[in-house]
Amino acid sequence: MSLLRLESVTLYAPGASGDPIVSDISFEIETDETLALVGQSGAGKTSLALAIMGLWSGKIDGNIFFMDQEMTSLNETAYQELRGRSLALLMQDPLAAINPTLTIGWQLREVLRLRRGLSRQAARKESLGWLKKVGLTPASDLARAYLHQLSGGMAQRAALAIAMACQPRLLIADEPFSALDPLTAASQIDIFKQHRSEIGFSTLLITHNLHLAKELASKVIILKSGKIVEAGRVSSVFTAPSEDYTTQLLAAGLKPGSSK
Amino acid sequence: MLAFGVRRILWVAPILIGVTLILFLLLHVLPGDQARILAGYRQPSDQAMINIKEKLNTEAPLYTQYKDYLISLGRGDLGTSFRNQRPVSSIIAESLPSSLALASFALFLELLIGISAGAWAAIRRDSFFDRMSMVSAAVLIAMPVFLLGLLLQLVFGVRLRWLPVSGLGDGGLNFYILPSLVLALVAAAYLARVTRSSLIDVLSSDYVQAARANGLSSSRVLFVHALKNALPPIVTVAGLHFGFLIGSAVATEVVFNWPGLGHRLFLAVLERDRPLIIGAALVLSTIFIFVNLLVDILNAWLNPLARVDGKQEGLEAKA
Repeated sequence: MSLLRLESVTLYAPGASGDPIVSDISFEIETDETLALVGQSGAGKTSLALAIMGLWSGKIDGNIFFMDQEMTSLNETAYQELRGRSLALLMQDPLAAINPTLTIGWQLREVLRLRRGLSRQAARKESLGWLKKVGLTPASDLARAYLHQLSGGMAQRAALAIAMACQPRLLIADEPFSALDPLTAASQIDIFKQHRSEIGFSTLLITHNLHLAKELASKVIILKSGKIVEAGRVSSVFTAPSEDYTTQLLAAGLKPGSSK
Repeated sequence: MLAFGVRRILWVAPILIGVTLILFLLLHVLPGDQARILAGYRQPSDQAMINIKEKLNTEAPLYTQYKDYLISLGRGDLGTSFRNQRPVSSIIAESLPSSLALASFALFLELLIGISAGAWAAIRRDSFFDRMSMVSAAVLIAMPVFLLGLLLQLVFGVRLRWLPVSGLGDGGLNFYILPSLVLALVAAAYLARVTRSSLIDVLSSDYVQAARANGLSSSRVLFVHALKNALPPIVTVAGLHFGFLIGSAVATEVVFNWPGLGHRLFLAVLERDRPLIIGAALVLSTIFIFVNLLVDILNAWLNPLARVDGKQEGLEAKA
């Protein structure tokens, strides 16, 4: 059974009636599977992520099914119930995705208490556990830290902890490593892999880096100017790319985890 | 946070001394001989001038005079008014409370109107309400205060007879409404614009998007995640306004015949009552300094980066 299924999804920019940003996108993600959505900047990858999260403010054509529920007609309250709990979003720039005026621990506890319904004590205990899991130690010090006291890599770990705290079924990771330097990215990728195997969740990995897709995903979709140009298993796309564009992307890519 | 507060409070002392020095120098540098003003318009006798100069101690060196000035300030003595020979401190003590009350009431109205209008305009951006409120804010900011005061007096005081036109009367709340509304409307217009732009900025940030992606309700995202980040410029502007509401409410206090410090200061300027002008300026500066202190401490509480004071307390080494 597929966890997430898009059927000819077309997205239009908010307020504009011009050409769609992405058109006729269909794909499926199975339980515990990682699918990579690869394309250049401006290909419409982030727009798709926002549409799946129910945060796209423009018009949506087509259908999005998540756990066999049609999502494009869902009201805001029902969507709120899914966000965080079943669907989580990890954003590109960790230093922008964390509230700078609240401590890391506070933001973790907020999600645990409001979205998982934990008591104050339980949330405190579990938040420290999550900080340890993503390697932010000593956890009690880091829980009291503000964003400006963290490095980019630490902030990304904190963002991962907040996104994972409610144990979502699907994690949408939007260029999660491209704002980090290659070495930090490599260690983040290891942490990510470790969690995926420990906890078990599906991932929609959005990246411009085909080699990162190869390292983390089993299926890959190549997006160009809002349209799918190639889709298939990672192994076949890599060994026998059928499109010129894929070959170009492969040639342009550097080592896994690095950003251009 | 505590260290920041203490450091910031310690800064008040040198600022206050600077203020007294500037005011003292103004007193002596401004054209016009104090003794001559005090003596009156007609040509005084030489003996009278000598007596007055002795009393004012104007022949002593400046630093001695400044020292004496500081000593008398320490005793709470702000000098004697030229016009009615009463201590400046008691004249200020009479008029300051009604100014403070008016300013507080106006600040309350300003925050209420300014923040809610600005926030609503930011949330419903480009809506009819947004455009209307920003246009009326521009009109209010451009309109002279005394004109707005006269208009409100005419409509609510003279035509509708709902509210008293001027004065403090028996000190009832209805006497406060019109003058504080005049003060508040203009200030609220500024504040609404600041609130709107600050909140629009914050609402488009990634961490607000992330908070929504975590499934938090829209009201929680707005009030907890967005507003806390949008508040520092609002607090700063409102704090500055409060200082102005007390000291620069001259036009409003005159139009409404309000027995406040602004009105008193206005009369003192007309009467060239220099000790009263300088004394009022000192009291207003002191209030201004303390309001600013409060604003800084509030902002430090709201924004952890403002506490740092240039010293980065990183955790990288530990992790």
